[in-house]
Amino acid sequence: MTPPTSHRTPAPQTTLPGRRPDESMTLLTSMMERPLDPGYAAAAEERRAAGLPPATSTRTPAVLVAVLVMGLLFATGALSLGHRDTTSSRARTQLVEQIQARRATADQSARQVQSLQAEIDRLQASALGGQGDLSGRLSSLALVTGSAAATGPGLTVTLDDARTQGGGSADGNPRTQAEADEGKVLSKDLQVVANGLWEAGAEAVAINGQRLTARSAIRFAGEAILVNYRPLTRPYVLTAIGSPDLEANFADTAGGSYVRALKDNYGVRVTMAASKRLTLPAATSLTTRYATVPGGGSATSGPGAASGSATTSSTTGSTGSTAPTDNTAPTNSMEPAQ
Amino acid sequence: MIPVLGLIGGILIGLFLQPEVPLWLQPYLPIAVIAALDAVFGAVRAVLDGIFNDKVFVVSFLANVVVAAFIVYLGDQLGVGSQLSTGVVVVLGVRIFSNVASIRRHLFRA
Repeated sequence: MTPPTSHRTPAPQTTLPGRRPDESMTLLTSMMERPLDPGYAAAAEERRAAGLPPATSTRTPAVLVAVLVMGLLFATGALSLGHRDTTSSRARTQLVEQIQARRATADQSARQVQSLQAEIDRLQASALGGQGDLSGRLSSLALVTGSAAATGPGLTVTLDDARTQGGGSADGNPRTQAEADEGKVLSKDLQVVANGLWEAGAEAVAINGQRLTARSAIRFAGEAILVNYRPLTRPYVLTAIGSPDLEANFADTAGGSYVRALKDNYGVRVTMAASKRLTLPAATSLTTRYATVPGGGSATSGPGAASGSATTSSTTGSTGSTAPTDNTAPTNSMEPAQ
Repeated sequence: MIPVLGLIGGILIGLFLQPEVPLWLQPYLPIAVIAALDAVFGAVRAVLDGIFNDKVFVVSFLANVVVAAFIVYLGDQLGVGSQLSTGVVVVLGVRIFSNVASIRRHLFRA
């Protein structure tokens, strides 16, 4: 009994008889199956045919020289190829050290300025001891211009970049994550919020401990936000001293609605907290070099002079120092509602 | 034993002298190192197989280095230097791996 398929032609073979199915991959198979140089096997075969032992000694001078050269090659490779990395990383660490050292020096200088300022204030107070009206005027002016530390009830607004979905770009390069910039706090945001705080009746404002004065600028330098020429790090904390209903007033201003839009549309993390007592540090750089009091004639410098010519000093001051680009207007162009 | 001492001696000489590699030779250095590694592991396997041959060892080492360098040079001239370097590294890497696997079988029977 024959099966019904016997008279049919057999199914065509995909490969011809006598050929391997993986013939098209001879390169790979030969690489995987015979990794040893065929030279060794052939030489051993020859020596066997000549009646010698298949292996030669490993102590011939040629082997020694070749092995020496190889060792040299490995060492040279390790040294010179690893070297390239270390040069750049060394430069990097040097730069980081320089930055930290300069920042420490700047902080120390700022502390020194503050202590000297306190001494000046003390001496001024003692010099003006008899004239109560003058010293009172001086202290109120120092408070308003930001050359004296201020304390009082107020509001703290904290802005931070939006949480990136999926961690953003893997290499952490800000240039490759253009879409992640949407949730980043910009210098403009800080400007609008600071203006909103002034508008809401704040009497003194500081950002991350940098007191805003008539000479302060909030601006971008590359990726960093600069206030008083000091780069800030996230989160950005704006502290404002004002009446207890500062928070409600701020919510009504353009800055308040701007903050809500930032929160809702871009996911910028914003928190607001009213405090009974906030202390804002004094501004450190309030001296003028070009601006003088009109009519006075002498180039007095100090808190009083800065307050008298605030509008001119804010522009001349920024050209006097080495600011590369001033693409943003000073915040305090809006007059504080006091 | 002698070859191992020679290898260590070569490494020590290199570490001690710290020869400066000229810039035009730098792209060939990694390839040369890989080719030398391939020759070393091939030789170790041949010793364990009992078919080591000094002439084959020296010639295969030199030929590996020269051919690998030539391929990279050719690739540089044609504008596909990094791709050809990758190809050389892949081929030699596969050879190193299977030689090491064979050495492992010899030494540990596993």
